[in-house]
Amino acid sequence: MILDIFKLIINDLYKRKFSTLLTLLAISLGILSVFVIVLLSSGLEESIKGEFESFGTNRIFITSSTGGFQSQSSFVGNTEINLLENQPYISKVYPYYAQRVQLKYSNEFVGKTIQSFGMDKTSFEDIGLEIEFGRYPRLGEEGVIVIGPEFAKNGFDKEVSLGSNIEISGEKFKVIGITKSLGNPEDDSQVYADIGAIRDLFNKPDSVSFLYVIIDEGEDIKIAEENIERILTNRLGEDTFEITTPEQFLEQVSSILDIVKYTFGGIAFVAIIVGGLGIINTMYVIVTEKTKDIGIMKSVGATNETILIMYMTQAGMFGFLGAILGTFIGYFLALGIESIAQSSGFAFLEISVDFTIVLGLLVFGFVIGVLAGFLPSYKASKLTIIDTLRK
Amino acid sequence: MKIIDSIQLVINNINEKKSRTFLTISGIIIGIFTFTFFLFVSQGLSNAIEGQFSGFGLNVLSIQSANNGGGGGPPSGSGLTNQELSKIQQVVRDYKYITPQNFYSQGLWEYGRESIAQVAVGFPDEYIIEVGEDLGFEIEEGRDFRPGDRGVIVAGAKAAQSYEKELTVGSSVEIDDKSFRVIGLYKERGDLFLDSAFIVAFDDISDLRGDDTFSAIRISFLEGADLELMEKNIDQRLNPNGNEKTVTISSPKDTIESFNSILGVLTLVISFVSGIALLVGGINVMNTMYSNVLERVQEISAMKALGATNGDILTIFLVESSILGFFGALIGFIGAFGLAKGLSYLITNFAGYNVPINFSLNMFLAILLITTFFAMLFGTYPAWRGAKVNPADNLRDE
Repeated sequence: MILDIFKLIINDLYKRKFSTLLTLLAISLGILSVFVIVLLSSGLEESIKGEFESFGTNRIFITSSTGGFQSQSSFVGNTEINLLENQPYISKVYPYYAQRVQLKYSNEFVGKTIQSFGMDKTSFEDIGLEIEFGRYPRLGEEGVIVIGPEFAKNGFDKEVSLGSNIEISGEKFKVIGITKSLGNPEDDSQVYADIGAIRDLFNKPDSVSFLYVIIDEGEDIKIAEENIERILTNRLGEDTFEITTPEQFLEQVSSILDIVKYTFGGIAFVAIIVGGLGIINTMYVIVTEKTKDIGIMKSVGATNETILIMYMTQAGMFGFLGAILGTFIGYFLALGIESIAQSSGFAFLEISVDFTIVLGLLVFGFVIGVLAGFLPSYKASKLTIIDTLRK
Repeated sequence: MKIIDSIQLVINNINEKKSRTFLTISGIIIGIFTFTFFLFVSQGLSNAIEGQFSGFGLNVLSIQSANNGGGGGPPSGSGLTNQELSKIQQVVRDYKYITPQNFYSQGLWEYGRESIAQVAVGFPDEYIIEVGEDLGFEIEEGRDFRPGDRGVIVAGAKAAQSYEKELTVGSSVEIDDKSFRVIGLYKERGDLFLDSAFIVAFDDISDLRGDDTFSAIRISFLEGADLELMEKNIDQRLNPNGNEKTVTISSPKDTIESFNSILGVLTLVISFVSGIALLVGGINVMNTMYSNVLERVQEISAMKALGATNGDILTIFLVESSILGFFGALIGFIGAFGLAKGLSYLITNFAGYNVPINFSLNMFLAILLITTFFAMLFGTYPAWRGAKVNPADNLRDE
């Protein structure tokens, strides 16, 4: 019986090829958009998470409470830094100092915020940077800078080569290293210099933007955070500083991406509803065309229920097949977007398919179809043999 | 056959297939509704942002030293002197006044047991009245700032509320062991910056920061002044070394423009995604029209036998699909406008943000026209199929 129903349905769909195709296309476009949006935003989220984890989650950032990561103040001094470094669970504290400067290279000026810290091989490794070309600076070495690969290429009109000089406020700095790409243009466009040199140059011996604290492996970061909070509160007073952990960053990024996902997903969902209207319409047409057949089926004993189930299954098939088409094309579309993103520098976007989502969309497509098919199928099931004869 | 006749015919057809027409139009309505609604949201946000910034004066240029700390956040730097001020006076015209301006955002202001970072803003005594009028401050309580006031604060509404125990007139706030007395509170203006600021004396900020330079220079222009030219003049005078900037010049217009360009990108993406619903609606039109054509093969044959040309048949079906698009767009647009207007009303009255939504005749006509054309486009293939019907074939089939 069920097999018969399927045969009938497939025959029907096949006979009305063009209409079937349009109906499927309509519903699949909606499913496709939702799928692509979910793939892209969760791909982005997963990749960002992965990137954070590869850096290590054992770090803590301390900024002043009044400014962000690029502010300048003297909210902590060497006493506090030494005090923190002497804690058993802290392996290293790097003061960071960000300074907005004018860079000059072959007669071109570019404004840039320089990141400065105590540069040497260990510190670069600690903050997750690697030098790909050139060499690591020695601690306290003056007159040298390290730049990101993106900055080397596109920071100035003329590509910056290893060993050339860049002027900062009239003073010459030699480019001794170019870092390895981190996979996004923002991070790859940084300029790094020695904190001592930059503080001297701008005559701000005590200025700090933030402290980059590395916690010993295996220590509980939450407890470390609480301890640091207590120590600094004792020294500096309440609310003078702010502690940020990579987890908090991640949470912020995730919550923003969630908003993006739900907003765009919601808008794309509208397309699914419109596709559902298309299914209703097609089902009405089919039911009207099949009035005679329904009469015949009923006269040989088909019940109202059989008719209802038959047409609702057919409508469900529209939704289901549309969802298969949509997820299939959507997957390749997302892959295409991924490769475009990667070729323009966003190497960290990686699409991975969560099969529960695919399965969810397939079920969802089927349900939408069944719901859309209800009214036309109900109308069909209520037809009496007399009705069908009158036609 | 006249176009009126085809419309008559089409209306009859639509009447016969009420539920089908209703469903097809609904698709277009939903698509247009979503699309248009987000256009209105974007328009409202853009208007709201302009409103926020115009509070600080739109006809204004602000000059700051280029060597300030980079990054976002409120301006807090220093580094400008009377030298820059007089250079600027030499190259600008059509202005109401040029005044130094001091910001201080580094310190914590202690009140009760709380220390909170506030942005302090100050103007020199000789300009304070003019600037106050320009910015349209209104006093809620106490009195406004007067020339000669030292060691006092007039607090913006949000700044006053930022403490657990709200600031009132007479409260004493401490910073760096100096004591400031609150002499007045401003009414809430609904802007981003001044509501959360302390107005204090220019000299007091210099003392807090410990240097004589100032943070910014504010130029307020007369109506009709050419701000772009003025910006260029200042740039040439103060940044003579090619690209090496000694000062940066900004205007609220720049800020609004950069906000608008971000908003523009966002709107584009949203329009694209909601455009998909519209596309699906178009596919529905095609599907419906195709069914209509198939069902009316007999009718078409009869009309052709009576002398209707292929063109006539084509016109009938094209008119029919256009009508679906036209009414879909009309209802969708009205619905979206109504919802946007209603939300804007609610936000203005209950949240206190002004998000104006304006009806735009051009947008209305554009959407109506484009959707009608778009629906007609989707009706083209079915209409062509209809026009191609051969009465002889049809008779043979029967």
